Amino acid sequence: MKWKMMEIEKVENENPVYSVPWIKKFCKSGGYCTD
Amino acid sequence: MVTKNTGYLSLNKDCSLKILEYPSIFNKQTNELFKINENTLDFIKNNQNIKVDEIENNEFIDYLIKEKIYERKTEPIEKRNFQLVPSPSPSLRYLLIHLTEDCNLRCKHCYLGDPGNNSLPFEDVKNLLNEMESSQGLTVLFSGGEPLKYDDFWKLNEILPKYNMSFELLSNGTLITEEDASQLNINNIQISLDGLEHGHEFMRGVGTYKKTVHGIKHLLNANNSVSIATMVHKNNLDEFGGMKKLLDEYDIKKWIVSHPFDAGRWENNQDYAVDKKAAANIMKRYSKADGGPHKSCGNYACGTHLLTMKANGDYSSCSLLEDSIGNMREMSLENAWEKKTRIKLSELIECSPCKTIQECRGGCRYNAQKNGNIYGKDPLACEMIEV
Repeated sequence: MKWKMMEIEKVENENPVYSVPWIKKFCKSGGYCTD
Repeated sequence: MVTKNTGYLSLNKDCSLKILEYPSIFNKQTNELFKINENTLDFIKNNQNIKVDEIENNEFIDYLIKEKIYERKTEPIEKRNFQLVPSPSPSLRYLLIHLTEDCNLRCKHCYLGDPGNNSLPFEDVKNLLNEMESSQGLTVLFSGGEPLKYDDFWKLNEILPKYNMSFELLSNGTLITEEDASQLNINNIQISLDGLEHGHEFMRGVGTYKKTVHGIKHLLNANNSVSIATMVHKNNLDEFGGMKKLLDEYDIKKWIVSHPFDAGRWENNQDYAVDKKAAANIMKRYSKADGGPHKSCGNYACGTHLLTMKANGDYSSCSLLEDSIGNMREMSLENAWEKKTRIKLSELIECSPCKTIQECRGGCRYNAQKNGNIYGKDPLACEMIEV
């Protein structure tokens, strides 16, 4: 399984613009990405 | 951490892929939304079953499991196809459908007034749900009248599980039996409770309180998610403490406290209205809910992601504004969504200079219209900021 930059961010349902509690990017920290 | 090395990790049946303003994962049971990038979208689309023994320790997979996007299964699930058509911006996320105008109650504050005879044909509702699904919609809310008075309600209930959307029922609760409660394919049921016995029955009629409370208990006993909606009025002002105690006992997480809208039967019952400052105080103290489908997002005023279907087939921006966009027999949901008039926050002439506009977001446009100007102030929202 080759891993690229995976991004996933939990957003508040009705208001993604003003409420971004946190973001998770899965790449360098786990070494999964190919680019 | 993935520890056992047998079986599969499979996409949770409640989770689906959508393309809103961005690619997303939506959990229809919890209403959680995850913004993802194209790589994550492709990964989930193409890896709905992953053999556990093929996964090395992986922070990304661990996260998907933690958020219940993937679940451990002994056998692979059937691969699902998602209709991934990018939605317009702003996206249509919420559709409120007034299934019928029929109602078993005659509440003093009903914004719809005396019920008419309109009901949507079942086939039309089914077509709407199909259109909503392909429009990447998230939630459909069924209202009335009383939605349980809709002749085809149980036929409709049968087809709901096949959709990748969540469903909410807005009901007075009086018709819900123990059997009904165990058969609902609805993700959340919002019940109107306008006080304890005295306050509730003053607005809704003699004998309604016990029926509503029984309905709530039946729903909770059958493990349904229940929220409560309460309108502030002169005869329930001293009942909020008691209501809070009752709802805490029932472990109700979402309590929406509002002021009745100046529409329908309430226009002739203003003697029972409390002033907006008093209402704002109660709302601020007891309401445990965000704006829900009516919320303002981005640069737009209230109801950014909401469209309403009335029981006569007319589309409108919300249940209150008389801005008939067109009728479903002549216009698709997609076209209605394009045609909807959108009010930007910058157009709210009286609000845009205000320092708190990002907090109140201009409030409700119907309240503003009733106050004299749809682009003006919503007096209740202003009071909410001041209390």
